[in-house]
Amino acid sequence: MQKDTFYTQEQLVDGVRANDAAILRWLYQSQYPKVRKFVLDNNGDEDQAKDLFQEAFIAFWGNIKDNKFQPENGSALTGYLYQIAKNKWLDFLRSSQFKKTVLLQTEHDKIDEEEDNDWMQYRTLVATEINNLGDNCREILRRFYFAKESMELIAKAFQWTEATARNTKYRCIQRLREKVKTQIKS
Amino acid sequence: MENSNHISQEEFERIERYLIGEMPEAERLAFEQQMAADGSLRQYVKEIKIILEEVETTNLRHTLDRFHEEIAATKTVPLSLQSKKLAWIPWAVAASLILALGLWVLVGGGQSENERLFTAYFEPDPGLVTAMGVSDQYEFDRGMVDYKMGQYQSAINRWEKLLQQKPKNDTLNYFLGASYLASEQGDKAAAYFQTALESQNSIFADDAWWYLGLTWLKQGEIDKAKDALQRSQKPEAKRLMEEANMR
Repeated sequence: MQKDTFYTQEQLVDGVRANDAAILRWLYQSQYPKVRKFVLDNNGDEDQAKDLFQEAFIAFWGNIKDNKFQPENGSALTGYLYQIAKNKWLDFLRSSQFKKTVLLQTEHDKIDEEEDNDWMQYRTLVATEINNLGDNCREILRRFYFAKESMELIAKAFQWTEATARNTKYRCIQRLREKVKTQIKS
Repeated sequence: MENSNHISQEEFERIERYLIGEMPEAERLAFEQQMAADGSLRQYVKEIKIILEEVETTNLRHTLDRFHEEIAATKTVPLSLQSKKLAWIPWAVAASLILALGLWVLVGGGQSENERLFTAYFEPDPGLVTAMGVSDQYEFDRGMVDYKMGQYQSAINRWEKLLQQKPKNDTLNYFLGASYLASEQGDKAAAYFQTALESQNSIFADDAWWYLGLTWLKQGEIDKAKDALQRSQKPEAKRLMEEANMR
């Protein structure tokens, strides 16, 4: 396995899948300067560079998780991230050169092609309602689904039993589903 | 519709196990068969799949914002090792002062006065934001990644190799000094800072004098420390000298 700086491709892929903070940070901070330069050299500003790179990063992350990309050589993974960012910016330039209203593409574009409008609406509402959950709910969901912590560890952190932690997680998801459902009806 | 929205905890956890890939093969196949026959189960799975995806994406966004703020809080880049005249932004001087004062309050007895002052004022240089570029730059950046992760010895090993090709380079010498100092090998740090300071108009001059002063202070070389600190324009240098009665 060849190396992408001191991480192997395998370590990078595994790190992205596991949301490993050190690896995500390294990917972000080592690749951002290149993308920023590309955007600034091509009629973009600082804010656009940041937004574009973050959208590209999320798309990149999604594709790695979905096995849509298999690294082959040394700088394959970082090259792939850069390529996504570059393509997104070129798409943006093409579409917006003479039209001011076109927004940056989001990571949902690919999903959206397959999803009908109802599910698109559902997704948007979920994304909004997550931020309206209580602190405990957001924290437990973050730890379990994003940081991939075990329920045992989470229970300890909250000083709960594991059964309580599991039940709380379940109720948080239920609350989210109900909130979204109410919005869809209204 | 009202009733059909309810999923028991057991059912939820089953769907969750399916979605996060923790279902054993046989159970998964059975589950998929059941889904094929049951429209409302398919509906639940889809809802929960979207929820889990959005939980992850939302948290990733927060995380990326944090990474971005870290970049913004660090020095900007001299893109080439040769360039010494690029403008640079003094990093969070105020923040380091507050931290220094906090440390100063925290550290107590058992140390000499010089050690105590060193601990109170020393904070490692945060390092450079790096972009991957030409080959020697690339190797330099690998060292910088190590440095930022606190793996100083590994950074030292990489940079000392580069130093053979560019023994007088101010960036390399400065960060080698910084690595030695941060890894408590102050005795080796001074020579690197001094070499870095031989470069004319180095952007690292103020910092190098400052850290050289701290290095001498830690070694108990008060006269040398005073000389170095006097040459640094950093406000901390003045404060340290006042506190150490170096005037």
